[in-house]
Amino acid sequence: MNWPGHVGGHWEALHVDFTVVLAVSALTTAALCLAAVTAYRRRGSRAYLLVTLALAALVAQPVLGGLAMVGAVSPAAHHTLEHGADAVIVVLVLGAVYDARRTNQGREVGR
Amino acid sequence: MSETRARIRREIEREPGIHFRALTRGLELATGQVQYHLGRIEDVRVERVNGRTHYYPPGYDAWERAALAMLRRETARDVVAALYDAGEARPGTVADRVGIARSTLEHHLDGLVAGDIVQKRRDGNRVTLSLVHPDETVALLGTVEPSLAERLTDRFERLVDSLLDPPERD
Repeated sequence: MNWPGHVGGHWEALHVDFTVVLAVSALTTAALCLAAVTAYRRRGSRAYLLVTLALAALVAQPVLGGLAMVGAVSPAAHHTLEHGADAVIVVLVLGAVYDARRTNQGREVGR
Repeated sequence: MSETRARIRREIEREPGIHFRALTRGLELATGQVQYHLGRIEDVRVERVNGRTHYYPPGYDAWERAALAMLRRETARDVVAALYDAGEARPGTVADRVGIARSTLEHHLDGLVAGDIVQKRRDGNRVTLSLVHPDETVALLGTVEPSLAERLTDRFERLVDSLLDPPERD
């Protein structure tokens, strides 16, 4: 059976549905990343820095999607960069989790 | 006084302790424009709390100004409310009642103790927390209301701390 490769409407060359998804994803991720940047500025710990950088990498994904859609990034490059961003996010979150132990040790000594 | 200057003045009156960015965002004015007018409003008081610049109308003393800046934070408000209910409590109890990790509580206590809102009493190894001026502090809670962005940041901190903190043992 043949499934349609693409659903949704078009407005001239623009994929309307895809653009909406990208815009919503970019805006909400940016809001989350902004909260993380503010929290990092308040707390200044390495764990917060790593979580903030992971969210910044998450913001990069819809931006890359947008660039690929308008043809500024080739589909192959987009694919590699997209999965590269996934890997970066996982490494950063893992680093934050690992760092939690060290942060707490420091606090316990002071207590 | 120009119309823009009067608008800035009214916004500070409405939101005592508003910080610079919220002022430009709320009034949809350019940074330079707000800076220019703020320099020319004579009776507005400026206070730097935790690296952020807050603006106040006249009529608030130094303690109230610091307290208002602190009470814009949702989690700090929860801590103050828990301490008002309990009278005095140990840090572990406050963290449990508010539902936050110990590191989140300690971060907020730094500011609250420095601002003379909460006092820490040490009894050997035991620490007991209480409000320095309970009634005055609770009265100020109604004067300010955290914005959506401020709530989001506070909740983000609560989440990250609770994910990265080990469970409490005391």
